[in-house]
Amino acid sequence: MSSPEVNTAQWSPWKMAATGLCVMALFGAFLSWPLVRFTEEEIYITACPEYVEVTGYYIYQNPFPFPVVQGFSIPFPVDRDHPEPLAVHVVRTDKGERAIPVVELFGTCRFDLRFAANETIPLRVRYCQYAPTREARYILTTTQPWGRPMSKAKYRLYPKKVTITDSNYPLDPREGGALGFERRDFMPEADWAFAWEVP
Amino acid sequence: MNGKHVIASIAFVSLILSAGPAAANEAPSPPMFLAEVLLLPVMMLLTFLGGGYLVLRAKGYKRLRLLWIPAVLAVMVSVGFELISLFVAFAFGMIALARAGTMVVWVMQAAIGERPAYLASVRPLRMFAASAALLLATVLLWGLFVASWGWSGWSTDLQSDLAEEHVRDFVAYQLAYAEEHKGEAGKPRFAKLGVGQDFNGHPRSTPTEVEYAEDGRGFTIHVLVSKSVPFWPYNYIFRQRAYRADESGQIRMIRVSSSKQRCPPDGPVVWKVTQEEIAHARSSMESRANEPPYPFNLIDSTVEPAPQP
Repeated sequence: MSSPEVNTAQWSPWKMAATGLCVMALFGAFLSWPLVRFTEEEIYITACPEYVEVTGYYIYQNPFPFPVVQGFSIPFPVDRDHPEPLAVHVVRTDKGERAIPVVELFGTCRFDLRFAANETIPLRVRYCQYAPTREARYILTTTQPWGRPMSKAKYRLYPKKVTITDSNYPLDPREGGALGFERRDFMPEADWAFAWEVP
Repeated sequence: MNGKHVIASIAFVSLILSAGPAAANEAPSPPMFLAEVLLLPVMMLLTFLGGGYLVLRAKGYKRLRLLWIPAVLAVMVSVGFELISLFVAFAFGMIALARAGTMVVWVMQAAIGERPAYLASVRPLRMFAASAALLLATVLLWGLFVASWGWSGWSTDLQSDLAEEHVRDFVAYQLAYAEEHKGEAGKPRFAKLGVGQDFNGHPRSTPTEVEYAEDGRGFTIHVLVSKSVPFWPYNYIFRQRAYRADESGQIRMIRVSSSKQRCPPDGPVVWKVTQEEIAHARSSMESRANEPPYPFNLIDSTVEPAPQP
């Protein structure tokens, strides 16, 4: 980028602009590459007549023998019928429970985790979302940017005074009155959408 | 420092400090460090594009090949100690400003009078544009740093969670109170509640405004953003949530960039207070009947319904 031997005074503005863009694109590429690994998740969703409560447990692993800081954002399925979630809490669940400060940037909830060398960090993310149309979605396809499948994934749906009527992933009865499914080496190609009715 | 060192530095610092989309299951690095990491590379890029390195070389300045090491170390240390990051960002910014100032001086020397030999390669307009861009970029990145420094870590905890709990609790208490205190013809009647304390009796830090209908049958609560909205233009990056609710039980929310903005009556509905929340508020009111009525002080329950026609 900055070799002093190059006489930039001879460069055209287009060449200069292209150089600048290339440098920024290179930097952007570094910024958009996840360092740690996303290995497992367990998702517990309670479907209530007019809202859903989502609790997700996530495992992240730093594969490097040196410390890194990884930024995260929480993707929420927001559209006309599904407003912004409330009560967003992020907690680190190892070494006791420690709340992770969440900052909203450009309308997205974001947080950072500092990983020691080769450290594994479990996280819990909770939120509630108003769902007056009695259907909701949990975003799974954001696993793809991680570049590798989750080794283990577990999904549970707890109906609370409602009856589950639809799900794009087949659901089987599970413990505690839940419906759910599990996957291994899971690289989701579709989000999990489900619907319910109030009897 | 040559091109390889610069690219290696950017790559290394990027790897250590930032990371990309990783939805929790997604990812950005904090703007605070982004500003710190970008200041020197931006200065070098603009010095290069403005032709500043040719002048430095012509003046006989030697490249300090290992200069990038302390710069990277300073950024790494500041990751763990935010106070140090303040000094590092300030130092990097001063270096960038000094470079911008130096290039402006070269432009003036090249444009006015006889050009010294070391300014032979200078194209004044290009170098001036580069130095102006460097000045602007430094100010913007500094601003981003300062806005992030005072902001990170507590915005959502304070603004979203507490404000949101506040408005939900308030509406639930009002609806529970109205169920117990029907006015004329069985219509609900709301009480004037104090909103200045939390469940522990501590003053609430979220600015709140409540308006009551004169006949006692309606109310509107606004939970505004804190006074700590970052300065322009960073208030558009760190927008905060403002809530509005009324006797319908619906809670509306928009993101605002000013502490004076309010959520309008047609703002998006993000929640409707549930029967469970109302029941919880009712039991809380009953159990605290003989105690200070936290979280909401009953200020005035004597609002009489207006005479019906």
